[in-house]
Parts: sequence; C-alpha cells; structure tokens
Amino acid sequence: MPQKKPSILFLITLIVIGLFIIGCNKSSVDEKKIQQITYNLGTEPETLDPATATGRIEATVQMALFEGLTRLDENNKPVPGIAKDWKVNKEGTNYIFCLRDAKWTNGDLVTAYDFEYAWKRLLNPDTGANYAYQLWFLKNGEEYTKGKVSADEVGVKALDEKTLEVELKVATPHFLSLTAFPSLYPVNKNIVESNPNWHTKPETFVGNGPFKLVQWEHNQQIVLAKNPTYWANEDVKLDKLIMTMIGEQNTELTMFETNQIDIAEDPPLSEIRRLLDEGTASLHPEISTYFYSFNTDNPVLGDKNVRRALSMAIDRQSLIDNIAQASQKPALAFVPYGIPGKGKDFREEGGNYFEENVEKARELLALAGYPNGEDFPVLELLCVARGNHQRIAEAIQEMWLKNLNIRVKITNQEWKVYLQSLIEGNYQIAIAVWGTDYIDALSFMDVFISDGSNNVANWSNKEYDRLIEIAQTNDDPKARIEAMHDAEKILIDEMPIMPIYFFTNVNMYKPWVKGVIVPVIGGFQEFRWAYISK
Amino acid sequence: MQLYSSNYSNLWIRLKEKKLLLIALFTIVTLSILAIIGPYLTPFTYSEQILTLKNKPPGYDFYLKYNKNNNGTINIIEVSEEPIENAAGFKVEKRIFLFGSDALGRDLFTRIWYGARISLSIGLATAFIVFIIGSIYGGLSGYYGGWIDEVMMRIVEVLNSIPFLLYVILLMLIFEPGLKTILFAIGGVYWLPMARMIRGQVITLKEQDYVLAALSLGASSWRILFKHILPNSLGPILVYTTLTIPEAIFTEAWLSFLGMGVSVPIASWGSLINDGIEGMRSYPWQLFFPSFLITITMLAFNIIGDSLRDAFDPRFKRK
Repeated sequence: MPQKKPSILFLITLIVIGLFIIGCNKSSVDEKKIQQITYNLGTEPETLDPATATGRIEATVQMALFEGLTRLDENNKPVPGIAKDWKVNKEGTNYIFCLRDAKWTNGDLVTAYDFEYAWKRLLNPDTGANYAYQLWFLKNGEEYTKGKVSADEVGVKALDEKTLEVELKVATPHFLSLTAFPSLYPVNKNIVESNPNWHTKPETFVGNGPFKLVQWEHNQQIVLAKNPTYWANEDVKLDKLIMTMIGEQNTELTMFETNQIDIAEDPPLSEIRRLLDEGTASLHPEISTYFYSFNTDNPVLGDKNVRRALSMAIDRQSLIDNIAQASQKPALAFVPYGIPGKGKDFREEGGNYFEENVEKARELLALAGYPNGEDFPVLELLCVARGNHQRIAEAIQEMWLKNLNIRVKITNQEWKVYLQSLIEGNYQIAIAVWGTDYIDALSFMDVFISDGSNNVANWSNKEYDRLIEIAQTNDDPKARIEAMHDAEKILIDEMPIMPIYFFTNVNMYKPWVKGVIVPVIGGFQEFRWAYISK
Repeated sequence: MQLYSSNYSNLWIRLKEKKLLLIALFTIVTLSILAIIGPYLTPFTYSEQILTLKNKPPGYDFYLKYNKNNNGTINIIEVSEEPIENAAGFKVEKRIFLFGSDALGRDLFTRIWYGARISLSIGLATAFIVFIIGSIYGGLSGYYGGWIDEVMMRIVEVLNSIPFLLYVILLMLIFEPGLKTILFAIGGVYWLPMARMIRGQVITLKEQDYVLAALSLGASSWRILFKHILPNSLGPILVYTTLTIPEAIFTEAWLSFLGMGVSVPIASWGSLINDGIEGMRSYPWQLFFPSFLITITMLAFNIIGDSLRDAFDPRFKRK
C-alpha cells in the first residue's frame, strides 16, 4: 500500500499541470484579429438605468450603451450625438435640438418624446433619483422635484418626433456638455412603461448607443457587442467589449501583465512608479480634489486658527512624490485645474490661496491656545482601509506629530459606513474626495453653501453663500467667475477643508489599444471611437 | 497520587527525546526575546518615517543628519548615501535598514519585532483567556450535569453558530477597531471548543474512584472540581491551549489583513503582510519577512502542541 501513494499523487499532479496548460492555452489561442477589448471595470455596476445610476462605474457602461443629445469628444467638447444640430437663443436660455434618424436596439425610433419622458422621469420625485439636480437648470426643474409644480410646467418639451425644446432658468454655459452626461440619456418610453425591470437583463435591455448588452454575468463580467442599429455603426470599429469585475488590484495587474485584460486602472500603489517608468502606465488628468474635511462643529476644529495650522503643517509635494506618485498637483486651493475661468484656466487665474509654512502653523496653533501642541486633544482621523488613503493618512499623522506635536488617531471604516459617518457629521477629521459632474467651477464651489447636502464640514458663511448665489443666478459669465474666485478665497481663508492634491488617473493600456478616450468627468473610459491595431 | 506524579516525570523524558520539539521551543524562545529587545536594537522607532527612503532593499545603509524635537520625534535635515558633514546642533549617524524599509520609509526590522510583540501577546493573551473561561465554564457544566449542563451547553452551541467574521465586523462597528477589540473577539469565540472538551473530560473523570473517595471524605464540590478533576485533565487542556496560540496569531493576522486589526501606525504581523502584499512584485522583502516569521511561529507552536499531546497521551503517539 505505501508504495501506491506517490503514484496517485503523481497522477494528480499531472492532471493539475495538464489542466493548467489547457487553461493557459485557451487564453493565448484567443483570436486577436477580431476587434475586441477586455477592460477591467473593477466592480459590479449597481444599476444601468440612467435615471437612478450615479457612480462612474455605471457611467462607463452606460456611455457605451446609450447616447445622449451630445457626446463628448477627446477634448471634452460636446459633439452631435442623437441631436443632429441645435439652435440657442441670444440669452442662452432656450435650446431647440434637432434629432437625427437614430434607432433603439429593438428597432424603435429614438424620438424627442423619449428625451422628454426620460428627463421628466429623472426629475420626478417618485423616481427618487440622486442626480435629479442635474436637471434643475431647467425651468421649473427643481420645483417639480420638490413637488411644487406639475410635470407639464417643466422646461422640456418635444415639439414633434424630431424636435426637442429646452428652456433653462438662466444661461448655463455648460448645459451642452451636460446633455452628454449619463443621467440625461434618453430611455425608450414604451419599454420602460411596460417593464420596470427592463434594465436588469440583456434580453430586455434597450439602448441606443454604439454597443448593445449581450451578457451580464453578475460579479463576473459584462459583454457588449457592436450595435448594428446605432446611427453611426460603420464608424464603430470595435466588435466586442468585455468588462470584467476584478476588484483586487494585484490580480488586476497580473491579468494585465499576462494579456488577459487590455485596459486596467488604478494599479497597486507600490507598483505605480515602476509602471510609469516602464511606460506601461500613463497619467490622465481628472478634475477632482483630494482633501480632508474638518468637522467645524467640533469645539477644537471650530477654531479657524487650528484648521489653518493643520493645513499649513503638511508637506504636500512630499506626499505626492513619495506616496501617491502619480504626478498629482499639490492643492493650495479647492477648484482643480482644467476648468475654464474668465479667459484662462480657473485655477491659474486664482493661483494659490495659502502656503505651507511650519513656523507659521506653530504660531497659529499657539494663537489658538495650544503653544507647542500642548493640551491639544487626540483627534480622530476617519479613513477607509484602502491603499492610498491609508498611507497618506499615516504620513500626515506623522507630519502633524513632528511639526505641531499633535497626535491624531486613524480610524478605519468600511466605505459605506464611512459615507454614513460623513453625512451624519459623526467624525472629527475625515478624508474626502470631490469630483465634478460638469465642467464648471460651480460644481466645486456650491458644495460648501450653508445648507448644502454635501457640506460635510458643517461650515457656514453668509458672504460665501451670497457669492455662490451670484454664481448660480447671474447671467454674466464674468461676474459669475469673479464671484466664485472671491468665494474660494473665503473658503480657503476659513479652511473648513484641507486641500491636499488634485487628482490624476493612472491607467494602463496595451499598446494595441487605440482611440479610447479618458473623460475628465463622467465615466472612466469612452469606447465609442476605440479600436485594436496590431 | 503516585501514578499522577510519575506520569509527569516521564513526560519530561518523553519530551526530551524529540529533537523537533527542542528546535520548536528554541524558536519560540528566540522569537520572544527578539520581540522584547528587537525594537531597541535599532535607532529607529516603529512609526518613524523617512519618506524619501521608501521601499529600500534589506541591508541598505545611509547617512542621516537630524535634530531632535522636544517630543522625541526627529527632524530630518538631510539623507544621503555619502557621508554628510556635521554642524552644531545636529547629529549625523550612519544607519542601516537591516530588513529594508516599507512604503513609508519605516525600518522594517523595527516594525517586525514590534509586530512580533503584538502578535505574540495576542496569541498568549488569547490562550490565557481561553484557558480560564474554558476550564471554569466546561468544568462547572460537566461536573453539575443535568439541566445546568443542558442550558450551559445550549448557550455554547448558540454562540458557536454565529459566523465569526460577521460577529467581528459587528464588534468593530460597536467598539473601535484595535487591540482590545481583537482580543475580545478572538477570546470570545475560542473558548467554546475548549469548554466542550473540558466538559467531556470532567464527565468521565467525575465517575473515578478518587472523586468518590474525596466525596466520602466530605470535600466540597469546588474542591473536587479544582483540586482533583481539573488537574487530571491538564494534559488535554494544555495541548489545546498551546494549539490556540498559533490559531489566534493567525486570526489576528487575517483580521489585520482585512483591515479590521490594530490601528495604524501600530504594526502586527498581519498588517505588515497586508502592507507587503501590495508591493509583492517590486519589493518582495516587505512580504517575505513577516510571512516567514508568522510561518515559523505557527509551525513551532503546532509542533509543541502535537508533541505535548503525544507525551500526555501515549495512545496518540505516531509510530
């Protein structure tokens, strides 16, 4: 008997090795001649319904499955989508969109009625859409969501099958870009009304974008194929698009390096430097800001001098060079680069509003009653246990200890619990990220108005509110921008938040992947113009 | 009583014969000593960061110019691989990262021995908790029998049926994540099998003649349980306790790995592995050292536990 054991073991080993070889072969045999891209989405989209989806994961898939009135090109400029062309009145408050002959995947015509229906559905209080405010630029949009007026009074109307009239509250320069945003995608009225769960299965899913949904294996992958009914289907070169859902960064990187996926994002922090140096990874600007939010309801953090001291005592460039490592830009203000201002870039016009200065920080701390950090209570820094956040928090913890003799305790929470704590104001200092939904400084500045739902710092300033109201309602673009510059100055002077850096995305593309656009807002990747060239 | 003591004197003879056991014991003792003195062997502290010297390989040496803050932290003025000239009010030292540095430029050697303290003390503390609660609970349940036993064992079963991870996550929501919570979580679960095992032992032992003898001499239940029955089941208790240590260390490691462990910048072996796994491709030493140590620690404790079992109960001895 004892002699038999090794041979069985040997056999099992053989089988395992055999399976392994077969498994390996299968992936390498894959024909690369067909136009196919495998992209790692990272996680399961919560929903693909344009009205209720909010995240960038969802937007990435939706961008491939739908098309709005416009679509953003590589320069983030709106180009005609379902709308063939449009007319704007002189004041910039009235738009007439002329639709092209576009079809839904089930063969129906995409009509102006579908847009009207979809937009009113987004605004409808019964839908409960988080992104309803995206359409509050419409006349009576906000009032409808808040139940003050009926749907008929909302400023969107289909004049006939091919013509859509939109009335805005005030001139909104970024409105055209907004029509490319997933929340504003049309939905097929008949389908949505007959089957509320139309968006959950490939069999019932109806879109109008460059790709159609073929397969959705939950938590595994989503398979999209070129949509033959898309209006510009000759122009779409990709036959097949596979979106995998691998959440683990190391697994993702391994799969990328072994050619199992063609596009990957967000590699492990420790590998970023190497991947960038090798040229495997590339940097893509993103309009969002990484910052720490101070809970101003806290007696210690309620003191502006304490907040300023904390903010001035860290070395942002060192955090970027040594930890984040993706050439982010140190943030000495809140609104990131890449947003137009009066003529130039908003950020370049505004410049930096404070400087890092340890000496000055110590003075401010002494002014607040804590000379040399004595008697300063141990504050809690709320963090999520994910690579970047954790390491930066640890480094900042050490910088505060070294420079100000202040101790903070890092508390990790699971992402959803963390969001809850943030919203409830149940924290002292918390990590936070703010990205934009449309390219306008207002999308950053209106966060901190007194009763803003995202004003997690619980900070309030009357002058700030007044300036933001000007930015929201004034028709003169110059006056708007001017008001926002002034408001930002107040925000940074009061420092309810500590800006850290402006983001970049680290993406990896296989050399044969071409034409993929990285949007600065909305989703992660835009595949409409993508193709393979080997 | 004669039988009892001769049993234990044979034990040492039987244990001494095993070379493997001696190696394991030696490993544990060495690790414990290093855990105590290790962090003092280097000029670094476990939380001190030199961001510019992140991810350096083992054996990397450099010169450091610094001055001290009054709270014990240091201000780094200059870091260089070449010797630096000193100036008044500053210090210049040659330093070495024996095991390399981590992603924040902290000395891995210091952190690993600091982590050893945390991990080993979690192991030992859990073993202690399990030993105390398990023997009292199991002893009482087995000794009194009847409905008391019935109720006590049903409680154990109910507690046992709660999924561990779920219960830990709930605990972390209520209490703050940290060392105490981990001890509470691990200790709160690991005594259950111990209590069951001891109950079984007590049920068999309480029918023994020497218990009857003690009873007829008028000994109290308490005395019988703690002076007669429990000492006689010490063998299995000891074996189980020893085997709990590596299990607890490992549980702490994976809790830390899942981000539910000790709070930063405190290190445990688990959190070090978690940090190291990210840089596994480019900086393998960050993963290797803590993994290697946790592996040999678990192996050593398991060997000790197994040998103890063989020694206590010759029937289990492998041929």
